[in-house]
Amino acid sequence: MVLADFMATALIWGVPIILAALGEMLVERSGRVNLGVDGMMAFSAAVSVAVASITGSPIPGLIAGGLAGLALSTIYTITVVGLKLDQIVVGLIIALTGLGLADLVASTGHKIGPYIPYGSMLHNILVAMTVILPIALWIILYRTPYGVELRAIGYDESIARERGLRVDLVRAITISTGGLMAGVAGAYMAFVLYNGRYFSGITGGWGWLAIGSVILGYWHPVGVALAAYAVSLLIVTRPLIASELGLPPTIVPITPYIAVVIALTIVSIVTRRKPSLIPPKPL
Amino acid sequence: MGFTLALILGSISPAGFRGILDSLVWVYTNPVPQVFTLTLLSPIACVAVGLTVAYRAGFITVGSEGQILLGAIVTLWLVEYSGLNLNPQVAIPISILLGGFTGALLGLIVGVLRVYFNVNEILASLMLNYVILYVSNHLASGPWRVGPFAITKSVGEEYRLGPLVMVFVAVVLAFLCWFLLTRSSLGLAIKVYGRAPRVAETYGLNPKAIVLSVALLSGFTSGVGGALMMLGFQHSLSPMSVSPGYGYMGVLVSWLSSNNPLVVLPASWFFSSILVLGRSLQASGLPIGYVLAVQAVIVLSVMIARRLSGRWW
Amino acid sequence: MDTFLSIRGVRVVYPGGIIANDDVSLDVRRGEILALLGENGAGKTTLIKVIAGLVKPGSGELVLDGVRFKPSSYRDALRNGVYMVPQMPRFFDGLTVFEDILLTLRIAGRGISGRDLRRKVDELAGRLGFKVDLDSYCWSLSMGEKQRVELLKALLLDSKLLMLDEPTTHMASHEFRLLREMLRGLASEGKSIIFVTHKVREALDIADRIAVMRKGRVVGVFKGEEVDEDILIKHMFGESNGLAGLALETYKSLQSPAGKPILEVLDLWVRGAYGQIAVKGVTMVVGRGEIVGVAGLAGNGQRELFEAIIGLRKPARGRIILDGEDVTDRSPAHRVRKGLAIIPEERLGWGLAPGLSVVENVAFSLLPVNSIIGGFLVDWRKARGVAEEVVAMTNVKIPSLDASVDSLSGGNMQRLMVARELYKKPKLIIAMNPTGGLDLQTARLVKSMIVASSRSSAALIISEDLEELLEVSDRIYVMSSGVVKGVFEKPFNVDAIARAMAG
Repeated sequence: MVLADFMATALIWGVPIILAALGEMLVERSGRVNLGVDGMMAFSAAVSVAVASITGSPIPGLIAGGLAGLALSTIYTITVVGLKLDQIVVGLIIALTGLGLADLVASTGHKIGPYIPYGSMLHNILVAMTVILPIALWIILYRTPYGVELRAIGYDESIARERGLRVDLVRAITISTGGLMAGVAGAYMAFVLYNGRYFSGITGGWGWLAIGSVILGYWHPVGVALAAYAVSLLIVTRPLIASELGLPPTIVPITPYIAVVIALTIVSIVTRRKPSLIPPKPL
Repeated sequence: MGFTLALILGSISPAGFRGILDSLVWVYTNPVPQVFTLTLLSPIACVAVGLTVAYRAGFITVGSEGQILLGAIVTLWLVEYSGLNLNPQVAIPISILLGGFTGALLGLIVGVLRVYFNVNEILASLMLNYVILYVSNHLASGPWRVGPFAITKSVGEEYRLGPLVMVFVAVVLAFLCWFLLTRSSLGLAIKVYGRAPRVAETYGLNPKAIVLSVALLSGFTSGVGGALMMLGFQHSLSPMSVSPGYGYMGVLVSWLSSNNPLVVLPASWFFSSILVLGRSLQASGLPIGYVLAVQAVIVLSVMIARRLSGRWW
Repeated sequence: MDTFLSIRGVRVVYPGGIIANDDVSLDVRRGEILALLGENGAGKTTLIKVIAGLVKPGSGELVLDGVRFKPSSYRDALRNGVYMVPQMPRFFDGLTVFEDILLTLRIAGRGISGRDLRRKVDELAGRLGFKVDLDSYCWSLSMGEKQRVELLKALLLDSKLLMLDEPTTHMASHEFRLLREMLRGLASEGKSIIFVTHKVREALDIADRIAVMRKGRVVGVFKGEEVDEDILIKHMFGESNGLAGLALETYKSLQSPAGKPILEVLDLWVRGAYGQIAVKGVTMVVGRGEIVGVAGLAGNGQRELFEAIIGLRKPARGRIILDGEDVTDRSPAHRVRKGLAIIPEERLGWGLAPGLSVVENVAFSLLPVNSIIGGFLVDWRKARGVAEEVVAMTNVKIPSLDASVDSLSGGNMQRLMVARELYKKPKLIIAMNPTGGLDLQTARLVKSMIVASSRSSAALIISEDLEELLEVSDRIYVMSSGVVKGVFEKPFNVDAIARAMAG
């Protein structure tokens, strides 16, 4: 059945968005927003391809990609948690910097190299993560004391500090984890989706879609994963949408973006009526 | 400080360190690139001045990228595709205004979403940027295409603008924004709302009106910037995988200028000179996308420096 | 009985020069209940905050169980067996009660399994005579319930030193009795308890020893059996008896009848931040020339009432009539234009715009009402003139008109706010806690200004400071749990008012 095919493809193509979104969810749960996701993904894509082409194997590339995301997120940690600079501005700067640095790295010539084939062990692990992680995070967030501490920090920073919770430490951890996950997401895009190739604009703005997914999933691990998956489904079914609605193929890419805007609006309307659903307060 | 860091990083590109130094000298001493700098300055400045007002109100929109593009599209339409063969004297001002108008509409969408639906304006405006990008790509490879390659008609010679006119427009906009912020009651309301929305609401300033106004204004100036861009140097559209980036540069400039419309002018000059620098190195292999990163890093370093000096004094 | 906690020479000075604790020395013995008695502002809360690690004293030291004790944080104090139950406990809205308790226990370094916790909570709650739904969310708890949860936590932690700040604020009398039994039980197990209160009878009822504080000092320590109300009251208030407070020049000894009311609040129902009903069917009237006070401890719906009257919060039911016009659905702008002057509880962030200059802060508030300053354009020269007048009205100390409002002291900010609002020659002034955290001189000035201007208008003052209301009001409404528990006219029966406030 055609639909099932699409759903399976969406899962494979959705991995980066889901991973990045889960990472960002953790950050936002701790009371901060890191807008640099798209840049971290791009940077890591470039770095991982470069490392893979130098070393000849995607595995060090994958690791390097994760570290690349971590590096950029560390800048965020230092400037926002440490120096208390404005998180929005820093986040956007990181996004732009990441994108630019990615191009720079690619300009050294290592733009294409080994890739991770579909169906390989590594690939399967990564895809499985998108199912395992949301469930794991759900358990951690809601059933372990660490999760409770994290959520408390996200709900009210001043009470948390008063009570002696380690706000800055927890945030440093979540931000770094978010960076790592965005890094893996970016590496995945290069290795799996684009056959080990990096090109400018590889992320296609997916990092932003990931951030949007966090809100759409209402900061719940499973919700966020599902939202990210839905976005991916929209991306993957482009030709279907194009033919159904009679839209020319060049304009159809706007679908996920418009959909996210509409979805954000709907979420806002729905949650306004029910103030009992408490979101964390990162913004 | 960030500048040097960026230079060092940039040298890993094929252009090499030598190449960068040479270009550096060339950009700042040679009149030819200076003209170019002025040309590029204008759209960036137009975007930035509108954004300073928006940011002062706490309305963080990054939609300038899309608004610029929309302004450019509409301008191209008016001049080449609308079928009205207008006199340049007429066409140019109209297209500028039209560009501004459509940009304002786009900005209004984001404003409405925020005011009436409490949708985060950063994400909404970003999404719209991508929408406009794809619209532009579609037009260039589809309905507006001329010839075998995916590229539109070019703006006719008689409609093209020189750098002086462009800078003039930018300066006018800068003064208008400055005037609005410092001398008008709306400006005061914006400032109050931006610092403490609750204060504004309590004492009878209308938050909805404030946000919608700045959304319109920032959209307008960005749209104007787009019109200038199209008439000044872009001249046509072709499909792109990433948008040109002037809108984002405007965002950075605005922050760099501490949201002061007058400071935007020299800051835009600085940034556009970096852009020219980058362009000149493109031939030797420096990726153009890197320029934006450099600018971003510069802003970050400035922010860090400000914060640190605040601590030690 | 030996000494468990020894407090020596503690001195706490708040920015602005207010001396909260002035060389305080006190001993707390093992296994005793010590009442810390004093009126509002005597320094009791500050002292226990010092012990709990929330406030750092400028000088002085604490010795806990023979060891020098310098709590660096709340967490530190918790781990040393010191627990403080605040007067207005703050919780994490999105967590359930269960999670919050678990969290606190973890901070204190105590692990406990979920099941054990539930069992113990049921047991303890039973002993104290109330029920607690562990799975309800913290945002839905009333202030009383929050206090009870805090009490539970204190017991669960098995702390060696337990400090309770006005625990009976939201408690019924039978609950108090149970609490007393509980505390006595704990004391007999060797725990030390500090019980902070301003209610004399309570102190006598429950404590082994009573320490009276006034103006930051300990003015007397007495054995429970050896002392009576009068002695205590005399120590609490100094030689001037009763609730003398400050001698305020009474502008309003003769009161003309109210006439047509300037404000009518009719059967108002208002929802709070999370959808729970905070104001239940409140009806109030303020007549011309009157000063009406709304008394009650914080958290009983006053803020929501305030927000509804100024237009920031839409009521679920009921009407608000300002100067004869139904403004329930109208914007704050409209109300301001009709002559409503607003003095909110918080200065920076609600009454004044942080980061902006003095002139700007005066100008913006006059924008809706005053066309002297300008329509579309702001005439800054005129604005500066107005600002100068405003500043002169209350003698605000400012470095310059263009100085940022952030640099002003709390007292000066309040003066600026009050003057600015009164400059508008309003029909009604609505103020919330107008003298909160102010030094005496400024508080006095603010009060007399409000009183003076109310001659030509009217004022509604919502305040936690009962004394202040007693001084200036013609009539006092008492709010508790979102309802008006009583209306009192002059001369005020303080006892009855206090009882109404308690619930």
